[in-house]
Amino acid sequence: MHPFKLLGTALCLLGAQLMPGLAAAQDTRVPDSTYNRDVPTIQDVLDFEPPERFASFYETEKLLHRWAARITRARNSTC
Amino acid sequence: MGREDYEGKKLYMLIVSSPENLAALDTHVGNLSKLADPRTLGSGELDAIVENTPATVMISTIDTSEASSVEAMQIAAYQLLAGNDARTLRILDNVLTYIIPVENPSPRDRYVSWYNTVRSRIPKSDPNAAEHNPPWGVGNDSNHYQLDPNRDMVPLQMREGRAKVELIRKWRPELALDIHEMGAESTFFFPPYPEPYNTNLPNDTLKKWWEIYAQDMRKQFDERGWQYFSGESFGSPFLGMHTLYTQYHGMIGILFEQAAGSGGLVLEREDGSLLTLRDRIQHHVTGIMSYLDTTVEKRPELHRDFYEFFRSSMNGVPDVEHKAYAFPPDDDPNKMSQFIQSLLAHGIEVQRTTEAFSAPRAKGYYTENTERHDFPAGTYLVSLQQPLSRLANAVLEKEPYHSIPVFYDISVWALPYQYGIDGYWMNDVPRVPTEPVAQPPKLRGEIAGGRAGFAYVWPYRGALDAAAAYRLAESGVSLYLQPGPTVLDGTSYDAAFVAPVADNDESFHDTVKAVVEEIPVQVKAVSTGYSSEGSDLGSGSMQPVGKPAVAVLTRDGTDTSAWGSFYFFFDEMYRLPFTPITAQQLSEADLSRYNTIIIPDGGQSVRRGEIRGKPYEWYFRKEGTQHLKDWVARGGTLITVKGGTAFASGEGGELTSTKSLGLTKETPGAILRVEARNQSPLTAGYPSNFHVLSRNTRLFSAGDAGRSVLSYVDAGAMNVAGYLLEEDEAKLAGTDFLMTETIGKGRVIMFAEDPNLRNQWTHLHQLIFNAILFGPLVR
Repeated sequence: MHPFKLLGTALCLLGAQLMPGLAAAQDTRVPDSTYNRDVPTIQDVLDFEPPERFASFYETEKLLHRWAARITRARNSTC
Repeated sequence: MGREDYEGKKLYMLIVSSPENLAALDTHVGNLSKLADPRTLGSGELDAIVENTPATVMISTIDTSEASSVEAMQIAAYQLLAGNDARTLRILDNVLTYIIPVENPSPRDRYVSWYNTVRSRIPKSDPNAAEHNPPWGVGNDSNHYQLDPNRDMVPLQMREGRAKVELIRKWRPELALDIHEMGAESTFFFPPYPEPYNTNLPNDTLKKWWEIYAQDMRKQFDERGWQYFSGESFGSPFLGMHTLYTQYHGMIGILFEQAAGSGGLVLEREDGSLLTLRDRIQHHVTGIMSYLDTTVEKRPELHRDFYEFFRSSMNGVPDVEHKAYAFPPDDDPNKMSQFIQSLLAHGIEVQRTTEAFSAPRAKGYYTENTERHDFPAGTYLVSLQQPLSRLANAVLEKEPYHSIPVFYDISVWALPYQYGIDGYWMNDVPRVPTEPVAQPPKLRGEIAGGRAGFAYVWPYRGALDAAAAYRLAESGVSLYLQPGPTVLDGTSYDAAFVAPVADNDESFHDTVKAVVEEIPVQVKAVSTGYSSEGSDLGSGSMQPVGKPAVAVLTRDGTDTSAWGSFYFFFDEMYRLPFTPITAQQLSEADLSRYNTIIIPDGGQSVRRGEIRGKPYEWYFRKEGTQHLKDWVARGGTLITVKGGTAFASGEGGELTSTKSLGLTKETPGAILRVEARNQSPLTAGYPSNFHVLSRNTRLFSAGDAGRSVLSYVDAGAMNVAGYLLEEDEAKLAGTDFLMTETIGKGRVIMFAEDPNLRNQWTHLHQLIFNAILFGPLVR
């Protein structure tokens, strides 16, 4: 492994331990996935990520609007 | 159609796929719609559609207070939106994923708002902690009206269910992932489901898909050492629940049930282990990804079976002999309008005949024999030669087939019984000219004859007529029930409401006009009080309708759904004023502002022959019970339902001499016949015997000081449809369904069974109106 990548990984792990919310969020994600950083995370939009706490209906609504507005993979539809 | 729930919260669906698929979204959905209606599929089109169309998966939960479900869907959405790994990209290329994270916003918001008020910095795993013990009405999955949309998919009265069906019909999902939670001591459930199945469905195909999907799911869970079970629970022919309902639209309905109990962020189980929100979310997300992976693998086969579902429905339901249903017009246009509205909301095709016809061999909901039957022009027809024939038959057949006596929720649900509609089925689609029905019959309110010289009169044919009477009386209009039969100004009435000019002031003409504009009833202005048959309008046989001032018991003690039925009845369905009131207020407050108080089912609940919970007398205590009894004695009308009647009985709060006779052994739902024992205004608008629903039944009989109004008929003639043990039929025979007893100047009107279960039994709504409007006439 490239030493800088290893260092980066170590820093991430340390950061994750210092920030329990972030660590918890990564726990619930799909293993071995990689992500497009341009897509706002739940943390970016709501300032927390499950399972730290529950999202209210209005927080979920905010999340859906933010995603649908910025991402070409998504379209929002009201029933 | 509401695109908001009853609290104005929007119902959202997120569509996620590759940019290329989204650019061609209309084409893809159009092609799937062709699969769902083989009449529109061109010759040779099938193979190209199967090859080129992404599969469609709908992920949702109607039970949004099952809290990990919503969080898991948000994480799954992020995965599909942001993931750039090969697995995610493959899903995006092959699947249109429809995510409805908060399908039922009200219970979600109730739960999260409440939870945030009681949570601590350090989450409490102690099951006794406040955060694991929500108050009344919180932590259930009922909507604003405390009615469960996950039991509404047969009548489809609720906005949430109607929105779901609109989405299904618009976007044509092929797989439904329904994300739920269950008791804390369990593990994780996914299908296969066990018997009993609904025989209207292609169960071999469904079983094949449940197993196909389960294979990867087992592998995923095994690799992580997570426990699960399948094949043991949640099988049912009942289609009132969302997961099972989706299968009548050609979808593979998949239920996830994750152990959760009272949930929160962490909960200690009986064995001391901790169940965390993180675990619950991980299980759901892993499951969602597994089912998406398998959908990618099996995309062409899923399309072909989706098409086959509808193709095989076009000549009737396989193995079902009859091919059509016929529903003659009803005297009460409101009943027929609601019935047709339900069918159309499902997407079921309905025709109306333009000529009379005769069916040589027809069988009816209320008859035993197959015989010739004549139908007038205007009869509604539902042919089973249509894409949704399986769904049509499932909501219309007299009773479902249960291969084993295992019941999830209820055992009988045919719509004609719920609405009180007469109908027949036959083995051939009648050859008679028809026109398609796109809208339910429009109900129009009108006053024929202009300004009344003597009185306004309208027939008492159904609940809307009574609702108009309620609204007018509540507005201060003086009116009467003419019990009939009578002929007034050339029109025959079985029974009618009469608002005489002489009893009211000048403004009442405008009040009648305003009410008729809001409540569509057919009023006639008459210029004479003379009846050519029956009593004149000045006769002593006219029964005065008092001004209703109604309070309904709510919150602690009441069954949430039983309360919700009345809440919906007054507030949403008929838009009538009333006061919700708690047991504490009823026990202490000045009740003189009310003349009618309703105690819905509650206190102890009955399930499978057992009584659970605390009785109402525990909530009212001796002082509150006496307070209520004193109010009745001063002239109040107390209406009690089931658990409320147990409270009113001699064995409960001792308000009356009514005898509580115990429970049936097992009545998961039977449609039974009752008969009138005495002439009473409480049964106005009903024949001398008619059908009611009996479910988890308590048994009562009028006491020495009381009077029986409606009783179950003799065993042998009682069961109209549904599951009823012989021993329960024997127990029920002759017991009372509706009783009265006077106390001082007041009276108690007691229903043994809930006449308004989930507000779905509109057939019995007149009984509720009668008790309110004519209660003071009970002596």
